[in-house]
Amino acid sequence: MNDTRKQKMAAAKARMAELAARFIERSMGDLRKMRDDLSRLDAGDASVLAEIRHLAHRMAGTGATLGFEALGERAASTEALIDALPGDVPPDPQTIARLAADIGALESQLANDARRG
Amino acid sequence: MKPPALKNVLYVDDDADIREIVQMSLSLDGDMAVHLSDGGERALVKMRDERPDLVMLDVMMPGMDGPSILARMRADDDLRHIPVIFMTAKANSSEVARFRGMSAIGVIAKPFDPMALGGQVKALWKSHHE
Repeated sequence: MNDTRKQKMAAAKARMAELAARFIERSMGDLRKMRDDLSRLDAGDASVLAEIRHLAHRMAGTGATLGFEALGERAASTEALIDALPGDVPPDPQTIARLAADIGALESQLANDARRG
Repeated sequence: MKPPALKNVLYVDDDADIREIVQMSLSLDGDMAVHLSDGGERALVKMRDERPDLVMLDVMMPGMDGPSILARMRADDDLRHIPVIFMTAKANSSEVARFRGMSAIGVIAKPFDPMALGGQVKALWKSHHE
């Protein structure tokens, strides 16, 4: 490996660490949004499912790319749960409970990842 | 036959962090210029402005998704010749076959290894020209 590539690799790794820290912060906000959406879903507003799905999709893709594999897998599972729902019918209470459990698991995993730094 | 040099790439993704990571990853090797777009009509405008050798499209984007952008490219005389690689979290064999059937030269799975992405792209570029 030549010196220029080594320098670029070192700079890229440093920037990835910054992006990882920013991802943790952003994901905390995203999970708060998902909790709010879940409350609205529980009140009968099925339109929020699209936002929960979008946030889970982003968390899955970006998280895993930045090295948060467990969080990425959990978020991908939440996305898959929503993808499997019929689009035109509000989810039943069991599905809402499962989504709540998924979001709780994401919160725990993110807290672990944040502690690890 | 040696493939033409890959000097100018456009990466399209709605996620700003992934765009930055892809740009960094592809810039690790050589002097490739990596242009970025967050999608939609802006991506098509950028293609006309930058004339990239290769376009890399995220599949799942709000509004116009990756396959829709590819369809627009193939219907456009100025853009139809540009090779496309899809990036997707759903890189199972049936999806890969579907994307290849849409004329994509390859599919790269997300999440990807940022340190290895450049090599993956170059390998697809090379096999496209063999």
